[in-house]
Amino acid sequence: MMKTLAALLCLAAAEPTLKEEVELLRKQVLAQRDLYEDQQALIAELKSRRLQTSTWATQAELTAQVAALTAVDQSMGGAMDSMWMCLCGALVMFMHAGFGMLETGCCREKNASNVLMKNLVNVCVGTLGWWSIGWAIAYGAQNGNGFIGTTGWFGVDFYTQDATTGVITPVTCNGDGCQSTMLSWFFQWAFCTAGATIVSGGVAERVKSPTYALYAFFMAGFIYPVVVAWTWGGGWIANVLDVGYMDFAGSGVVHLTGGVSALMGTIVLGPRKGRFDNPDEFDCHNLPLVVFGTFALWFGWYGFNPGSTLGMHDGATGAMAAQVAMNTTLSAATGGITVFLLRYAIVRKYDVGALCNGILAGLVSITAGCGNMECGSAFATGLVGALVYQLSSMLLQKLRIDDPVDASPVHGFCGIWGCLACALFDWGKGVDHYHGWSGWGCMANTDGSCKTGIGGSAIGAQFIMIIMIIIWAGGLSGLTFFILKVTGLLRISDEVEDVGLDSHHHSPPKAYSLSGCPTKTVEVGAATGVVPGEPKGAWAA
Amino acid sequence: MFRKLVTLVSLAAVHGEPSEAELMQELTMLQQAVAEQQRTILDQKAELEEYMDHSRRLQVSVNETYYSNTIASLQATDYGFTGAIDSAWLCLCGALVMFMHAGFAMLETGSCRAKNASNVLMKNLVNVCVGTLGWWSLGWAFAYGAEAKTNGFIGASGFFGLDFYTQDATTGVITPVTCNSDGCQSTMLSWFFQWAFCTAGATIVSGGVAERVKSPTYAAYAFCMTTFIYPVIVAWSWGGGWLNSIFDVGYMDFAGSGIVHLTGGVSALAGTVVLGPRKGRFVNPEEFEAHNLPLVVLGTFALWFGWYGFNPGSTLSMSSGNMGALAAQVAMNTTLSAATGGIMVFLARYAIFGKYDVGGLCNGILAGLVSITAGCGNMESGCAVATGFVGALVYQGSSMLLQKLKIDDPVDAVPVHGFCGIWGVLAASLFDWGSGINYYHGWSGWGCMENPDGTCRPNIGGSAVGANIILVLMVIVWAGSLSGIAFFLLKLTGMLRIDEDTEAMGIDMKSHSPPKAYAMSTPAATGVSASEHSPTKAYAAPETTV
Repeated sequence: MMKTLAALLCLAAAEPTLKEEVELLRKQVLAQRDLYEDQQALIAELKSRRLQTSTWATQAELTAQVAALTAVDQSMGGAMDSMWMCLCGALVMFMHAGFGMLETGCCREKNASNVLMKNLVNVCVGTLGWWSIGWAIAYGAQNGNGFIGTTGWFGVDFYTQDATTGVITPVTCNGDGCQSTMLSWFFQWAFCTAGATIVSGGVAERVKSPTYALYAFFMAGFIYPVVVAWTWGGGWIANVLDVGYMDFAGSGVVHLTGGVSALMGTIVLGPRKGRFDNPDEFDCHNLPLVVFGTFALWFGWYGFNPGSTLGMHDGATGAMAAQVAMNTTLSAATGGITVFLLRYAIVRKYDVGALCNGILAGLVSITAGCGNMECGSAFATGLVGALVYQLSSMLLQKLRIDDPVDASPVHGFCGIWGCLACALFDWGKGVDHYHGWSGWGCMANTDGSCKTGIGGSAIGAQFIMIIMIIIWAGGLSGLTFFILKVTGLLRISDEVEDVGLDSHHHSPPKAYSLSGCPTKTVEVGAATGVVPGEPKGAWAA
Repeated sequence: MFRKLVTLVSLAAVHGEPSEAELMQELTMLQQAVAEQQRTILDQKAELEEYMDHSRRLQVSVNETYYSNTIASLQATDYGFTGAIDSAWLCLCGALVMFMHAGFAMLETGSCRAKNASNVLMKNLVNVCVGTLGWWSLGWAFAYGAEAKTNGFIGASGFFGLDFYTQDATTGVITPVTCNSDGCQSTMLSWFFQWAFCTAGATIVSGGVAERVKSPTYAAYAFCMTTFIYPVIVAWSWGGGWLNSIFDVGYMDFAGSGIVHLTGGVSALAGTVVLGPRKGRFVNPEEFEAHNLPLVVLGTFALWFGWYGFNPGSTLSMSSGNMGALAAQVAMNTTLSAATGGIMVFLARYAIFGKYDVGGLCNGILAGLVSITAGCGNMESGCAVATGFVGALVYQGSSMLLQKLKIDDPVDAVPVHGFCGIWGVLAASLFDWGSGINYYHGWSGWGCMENPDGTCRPNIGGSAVGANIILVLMVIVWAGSLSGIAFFLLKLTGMLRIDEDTEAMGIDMKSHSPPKAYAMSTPAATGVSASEHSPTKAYAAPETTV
């Protein structure tokens, strides 16, 4: 345009008519005015399209800032997941205190030290088992075999180290925000050793201590990890019948595994001497410990269940954790009060131990389904779980199977019920839709619509999981205990059983040394063999 | 300038034939104008080029949609974080508060006599179970149902956990309520956290009525407490009811010195007065010593531990740095008051009796904790020490007063939770860190209560103290009278107290299976005496029975 104007000017110079020149200049002024106004408009538009008038952002700057914010968010996600699971893992670890106190309180005074020791050894040995081979079998890469993992022995491969600089990068953390393998190891360690401890209750007061320690290593290092490899580890049960199993926090994977192993142990061992002749001698020796243990377990369960969201970096997960906590609470309370009332109806006495076991029955029952059912269903789960516990406990008594702390009714039978309840009470619409692991949403087809007609398969998948756990854990534990029995390594001698493990094997030879306390007038009761109902002091001899 | 030129040009056009001189003049002017215009246009071009320069402006791909989507996605992530971090915080703190039940159970059991140990344990367990069902069925709806905010008195929605989420009729997909989008606190979270408070409040009563109340009666009372008595008080206060805006300032009770502890404490007082003392309590007091001191101390530590969920958790969220700082302040205040209360009562007892009293030390710690519960979120650490100090005196004084009045409170639930609860509520308004009594912080945390224009509201310290006095009075009137009436009616119908035979024998022997809490070899009666301690031994053997 300017060029045209210049040409015009030259033309005008060539024709020196004054009037024409003026005309030309007038036109030029007008044309330049138009140009000026066009450009002014363009400037105004460009100005309005800038982010701000003072500073300019380029694409590169914006991208860099967004990337920085995203990295901070990802890092925070990793931090929050780690905080959540470290704390929840610690809560689950505290369940060992619960198991320790509960089992000790339930046994006889003369074996109290031994039961305490069994729980402590169980954690220590189980930890080494989980570290050396357990985690690798459970969560190592399966390379498609669907049965067993094979990487990560001894925590090796949990991070890579730069050969030159020695800088360490935790594995699975490509960026900053991620869950490290150590986090999974720690959180799942608590579950593994908790599962193994369940067995210690069933075999208490008569199993040889070194034998049990070996078994605990086997349990934490092989039996339990293989069950995990099939399920949480992503093995073959994870997508069986196209729907896969659902076990949010381990009614089946943890509790049934422990419960059925405890059952095999207690059957192979046989009852404690005199258990069905003088049942009164086998009363809990320290109820406050039992109650404390129950509260500690309940407390720890708030790590066990809500922590099984396995992450905590978005609102939907947060809401899920709260739902899980609410369901856990309701089922525990319902289970406790129901068993208590049932026992009262049967024996017409208050039974604190039963109330405690009822709470645990409710907790075990809700463990599988706490993440895919509403609170009313949690109430129902606890209610039925209480009946399952009470009936199976009576059944064991009838069959003369001596389970000192009712570990198999609580963890085994209620574990089975929990796995079933989880599929039956799933909050998917009818039996048509199924939520399972999908949480608030339904299991979806690839196009995002809800899968239909899968409720039946889901229940079938649960049955397969239950049966496989019973076969695997029950079979292996039974076999192990049987071999040990045949070789005479399993059970303590009659003499030791009479005197008590504490005085025979422990130093100091008793769990309590209270007699140093000066007491007031004490009427010492008759020696062992308290007749029930006979008025006596609480400190029975 | 341009306009002037145009006018000039048009003027020229209007005048018929201009003279040559005029033409020459115009020519010169026009030439100047053209030159000037060209300069301006060149400037303009330079500016335009600057705008058009690709390195200095957003590229075509950064359109408004891309930009706003990116920002929205970042905001959604952050919003999701707030929901997640709030949930993590309140789930963990709720679990800590739940663990206080272990503390209450151990403390109360250890403090009672061996012959009733099972029964006390049972009462605590039943209390949690029944209380949970009460809170689920009715309690939460009364306390936090939305209606409380409008009618000011009681909520009426959310019974049995209904309405906690919506379900799509076709797909069955569930959306938790109050979660419009991802990051939010769900209703379940409030239910769980507040459940722990509700059942803890009810458990306080079980200590006051221990060793003589009929168990089914107590279970029924626990249900009333968790479904109605406690939830209504919550509806008035935390639920957004009428105490919230009283005197234009409203009450301040951060974590529940009044709402939880005074409610429990005054109900325990009603229970223990109506029940009367345990048989022989003021005749042979040494028979009523704590039977298992390690349990008492374990219980105290468990309660103290759980209090770090009770108080810091009462920030009710953890999604900003300010909230984090407040939670830390609360934890610091809680710690200071507990320690001050414990050592003060211990020294006071030693001064009075000349013996070390472990139980007194434990109750002193609890007195400090209860006292700081209301004001832990609006006072500085020095005031927390003062609160614990005065709380210890309040506890010791009221404990001696009850003894004087021959009111038998087996675990001193009333002095600890009732009287220190009153003191805690008052301390919250007296020690508020607002400037003088002129300004007031209350619920506003670090900032002052403000006028609509953002300035600090002056002259509200007095109203704030008044509002807290009203809170104290209303809790006493409501919980005290309802509990009193309930216990009195039960007494008239003979359903309240166990018979004398059972009391002498011990409830365990009479009603429990197994009939005793301990199956242990009897401690030998040696003559060694630990002269400096009171009671003189950690374990009390049972008195001779029947």
